[in-house]
Amino acid sequence: MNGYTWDSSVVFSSLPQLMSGLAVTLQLTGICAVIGLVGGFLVCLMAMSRILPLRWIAVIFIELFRCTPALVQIIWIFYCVPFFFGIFMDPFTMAVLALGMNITAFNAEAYRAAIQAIPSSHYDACTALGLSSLKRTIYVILPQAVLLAIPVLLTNTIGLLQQTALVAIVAISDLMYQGKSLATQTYRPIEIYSTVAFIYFILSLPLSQVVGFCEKRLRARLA
Amino acid sequence: MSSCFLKVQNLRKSYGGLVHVLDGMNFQMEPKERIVVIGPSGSGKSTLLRCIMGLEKIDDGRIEFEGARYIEAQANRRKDNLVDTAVRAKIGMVFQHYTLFPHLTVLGNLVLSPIRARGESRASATERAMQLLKRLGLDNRANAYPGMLSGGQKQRVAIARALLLDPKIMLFDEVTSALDPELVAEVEGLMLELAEQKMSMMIVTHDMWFAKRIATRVIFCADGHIVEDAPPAKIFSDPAEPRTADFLKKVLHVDTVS
Amino acid sequence: MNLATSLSFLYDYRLALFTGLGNTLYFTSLGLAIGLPLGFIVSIIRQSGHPILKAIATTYVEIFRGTPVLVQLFWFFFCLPALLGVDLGNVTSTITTLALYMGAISSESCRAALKSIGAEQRDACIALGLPARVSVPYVILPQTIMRAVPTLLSNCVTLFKESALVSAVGMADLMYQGQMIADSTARPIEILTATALIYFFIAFSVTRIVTYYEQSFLKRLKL
Repeated sequence: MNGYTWDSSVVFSSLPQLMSGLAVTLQLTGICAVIGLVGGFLVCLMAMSRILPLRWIAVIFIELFRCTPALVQIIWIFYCVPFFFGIFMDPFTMAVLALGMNITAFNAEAYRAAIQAIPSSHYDACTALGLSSLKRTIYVILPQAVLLAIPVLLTNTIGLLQQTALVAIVAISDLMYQGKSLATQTYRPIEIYSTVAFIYFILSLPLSQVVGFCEKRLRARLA
Repeated sequence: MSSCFLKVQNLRKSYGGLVHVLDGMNFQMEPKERIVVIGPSGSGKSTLLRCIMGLEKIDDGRIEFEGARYIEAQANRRKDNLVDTAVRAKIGMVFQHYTLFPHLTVLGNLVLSPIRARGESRASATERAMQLLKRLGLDNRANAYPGMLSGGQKQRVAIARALLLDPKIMLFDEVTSALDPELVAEVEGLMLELAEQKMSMMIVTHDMWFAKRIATRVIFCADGHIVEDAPPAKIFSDPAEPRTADFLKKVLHVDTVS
Repeated sequence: MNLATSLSFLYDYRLALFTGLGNTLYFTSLGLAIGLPLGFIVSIIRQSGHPILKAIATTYVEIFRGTPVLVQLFWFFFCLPALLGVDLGNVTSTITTLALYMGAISSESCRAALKSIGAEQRDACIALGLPARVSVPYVILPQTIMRAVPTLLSNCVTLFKESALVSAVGMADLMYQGQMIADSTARPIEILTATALIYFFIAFSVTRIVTYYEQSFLKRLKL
């Protein structure tokens, strides 16, 4: 390296601060992942419902959040929600709101694709077996849809973990934010940002392995 | 070296050394013969055809075509057999699932190999292809994509695609198995036409009535061996081997007990 | 809030927004121009290459898919000059990041498309006596590209959205301009909503094109 010497001591001395940031990142990811799993399913049901207004609201919600940058969503919510609704939430809650809605939109789409992937013959079979539409949904469609959606839901969750880095821009002290402030304090950006990248990578890696494993198992089970 | 049309010697093929799909197969074929291979599923019928086409790696044995060495297992070569591609070009094959190229039109599927692999001029290949399609009553579909055709049409196009390469022998691997019953006749009709023109063929099929009609010779396979090899009249009315009789009884639903 | 005054306010700042949009499109298109071919080459290396090259390609893809783009941007922004010993300028490091990210995600799309071409098509090529010099350019590649186009276009939309992050390293893109105006005028709602809508219309249009392509073209060919 051209005159740049790696200083490991910087990495070690900044680890406690990075870990406190990591705790915030994981907290955000965890809460939003749960919101996304549940909310995504509800929005998906709305988007497929027979009631037109419900369907329109859901579709507009999904498209708006899927077709704008997550950063724009976060900034918009931080600036505009207090203005519009006159409520002042703490930054963490607003970040949860923004990221939670974002992942909800992406997960809704994942669920929808999974439901559409179920062949229509299954619906016919349910009718032939005399299952009511509620029982059909609970016992036949839902289990298959969730199973089929798992790989995409997991991929979305990895995406969510990475998206949480955006909250550093609105000064929430997550991993990225702590990295940024440490980089300026210590004047050792390479060590700090490499460590930050490494932590994100180590968190994503097992999840993406799980995705690969799930896809293989699913193909074998539903073949 | 005995000069015969197609000679399969001691052909062995296993998957992972455990399942012996072909367990030492031997037979010879004369020109203009139409051999139908029958047998229970897993008996190695399709694998036999795929080996003759050079699609499978064989563990042992050799295949001669028109007296020349064509495929030979090589003990020291783990990946591939020795395959003479010039000989392979004389063999045509049609598959169960059509395997037309979905991004090319019917005509595009037909002329791809003549133009790109054999260096025929586009004009001449197109003319030959159109003549052939006209003969098969498919000339009005020349510019359609395979996705727009019925199963029977697709399979006839696949046969035409193989025929345009002037093969000396045609291999048919369960070509009617994926078709709706009412579409089977148009494909089988075309094969019977080829039979009238004295095309040499090897056919794997589950349709015993068709086998009886088209075959000059029937081979019954089980567990990777040839159990019986006889003319259709003999094998269908008076099979020599009990295993053949047992199989035919099952597939023809003939209740000989009562 | 009055709609007429809002619109005239936006009209006053139209030039700043359009300049920002121009920069956004500039960064995105350069990222695409480098990233798409890169992704294709990487997918081929991963499919059938030298084991060491393969390991390098896989590591590259996993790192860029496993870390937040924001972290990547900061890493290249601070570390590239220090490591290379020359300051290539912020624009170069930004485009490098976007291109490398695009390369990583699109190599996955190309790889999936290559895999989806079944063994039967390859059997047919052998049975028709097509050597690799014919079967690759005339049979395998066209089908791969046709199948990869929808995901690659979605990747383009993803890159377009992710490009909003370059505002965090001070690039004057659409997001940056929007935030600047919002801060300096203290009227965030109009300007941030307009920014979001510009992103939305571009991303949404491309998404519609993808859907149309999938439904009309691919379905017709039954690919």
